[in-house]
Amino acid sequence: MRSPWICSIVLFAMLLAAALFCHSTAQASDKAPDFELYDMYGTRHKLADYLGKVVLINFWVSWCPECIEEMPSLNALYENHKGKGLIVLGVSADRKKESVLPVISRARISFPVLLDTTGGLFIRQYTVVGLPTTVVIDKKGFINERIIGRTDFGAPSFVKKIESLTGTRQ
Amino acid sequence: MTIISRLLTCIAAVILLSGCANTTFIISKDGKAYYLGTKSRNLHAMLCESGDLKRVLAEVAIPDDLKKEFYKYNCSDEQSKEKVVAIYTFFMPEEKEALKSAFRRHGYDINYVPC
Repeated sequence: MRSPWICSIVLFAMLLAAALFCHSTAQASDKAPDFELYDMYGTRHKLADYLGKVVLINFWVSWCPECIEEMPSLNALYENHKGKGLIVLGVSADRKKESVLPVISRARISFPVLLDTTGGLFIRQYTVVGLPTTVVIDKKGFINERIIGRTDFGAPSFVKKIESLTGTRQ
Repeated sequence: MTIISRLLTCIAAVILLSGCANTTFIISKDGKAYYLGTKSRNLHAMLCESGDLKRVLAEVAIPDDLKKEFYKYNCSDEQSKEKVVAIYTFFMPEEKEALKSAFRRHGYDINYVPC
């Protein structure tokens, strides 16, 4: 009879410890792993080709509501800065193109969306531990920030950050 | 679990969700709980040396390469809490449910708290 109690107290302690010691964003200065994937329309995207530009990689999946909710602000950021040195790449964990296309159409996404059907980027290269995750990569190809959770990409502080990184801030 | 113990777990989960972005993945059996993917001798004995994880994975319909990686990051020298969470994050909802059910059939409970 004691066992469920001990178990739940241990669980409580572990969850509490995780809550106390974790952070909303993880700063990282590692070189962003290079990759090559194709988007929905068959266009090849290789990260190394975007050196000299600021790249936002947004990891999402069609069944994640928070991922869909942040799409409009991400798309607006892309539309406003695409000619000013910003590249946005959506990377979906969906196994089938058919699951992704309705979301692209509904959310009117204009940035390229790549399919990572085997988890190459999600698991092996970028180790995505929460959805959505956005990785900000600077012009030199280094990871500037890793954001886990729904984000307002139209927030003045975020726009300011992107403009600073792209060098377009007045 | 009693109402109070469930309540304690819920309170901790709410605190976790409200203030952080680190996903927590805990496995428990017979009153013992561990973070999956950590280098714990007891966890290794319970999950890997017993053959339980192999049996659990054999019952689940998920791609073979993902099964292999899930096993590798739990049971080999390359144990990794982050990689285990990343694989679980990558699973489709039906794969997550199937894994959870298979663990339950073998006496385990998994608690995944995403942020």
